Amino acid sequence: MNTVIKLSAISLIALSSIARAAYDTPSAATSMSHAWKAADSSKGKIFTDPSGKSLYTFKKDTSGVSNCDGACATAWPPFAAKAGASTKGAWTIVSRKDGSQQWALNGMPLYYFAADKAAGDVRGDGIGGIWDLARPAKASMQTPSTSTY
Amino acid sequence: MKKVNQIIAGVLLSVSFCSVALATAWSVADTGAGRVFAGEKGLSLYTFRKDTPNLSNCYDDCATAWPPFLAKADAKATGAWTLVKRNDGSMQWALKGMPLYYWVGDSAQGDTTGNGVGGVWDLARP
Repeated sequence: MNTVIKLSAISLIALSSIARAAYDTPSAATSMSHAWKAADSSKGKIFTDPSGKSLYTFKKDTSGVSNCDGACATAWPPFAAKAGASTKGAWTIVSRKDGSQQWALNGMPLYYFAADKAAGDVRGDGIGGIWDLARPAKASMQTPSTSTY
Repeated sequence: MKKVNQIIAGVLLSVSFCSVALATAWSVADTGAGRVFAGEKGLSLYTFRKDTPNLSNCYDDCATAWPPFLAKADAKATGAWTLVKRNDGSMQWALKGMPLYYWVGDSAQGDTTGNGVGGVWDLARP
């Protein structure tokens, strides 16, 4: 009897994950709007979020790994990826130490700077010699249009 | 003539004496966010809610983003303005026991871009 209950429980869990996967995939694929965009700033062409807030990379990060937590992340809030977001070309998603998901460009995790309040603000560029604006390189500029789907 | 010179010298002396006596490491500045305390170059000063009276809890990454408002070697506490010792032995100005900091996002007098960051940073106000 116990075995039957356990087996049905297991198959229910398995079925629900299959159902969820089937449901998630099309919804992610149909969402064509990007979480980022290229924008002109006083420091040249940069990447921003959809509202125009500047994005930065951190020289102390390594490819696919954020080393900015705690007080660092208070000053430089991570550019979070929504649940179900799908990677695209140079734009990938990295897992943070707290389990949350963060967008990365060419492997480098992306951040906001808390001092930037409005679109076009680029106060974080060059701070400490370790923070740089995220800029469209020629290769990554083409990324949004070269979808593999 | 000699008397006039003496008077002028006296006035000059008292003026220079006053300016020495009144020189403080901080000033009061009007900003878009209201009246605040400012340190060198008129840069706004902040307090950190995770600090406790007379103790800074902001080091490493935190102090990179929020550089402490350090006191000169001969600085002396006055009124609500006291000195707090940091882990590295340096002395940091504190207002009513709360250590004071700059914020790397501010670059000019009147900038207050650190106010409210993370819900734990506040402008130091008179």
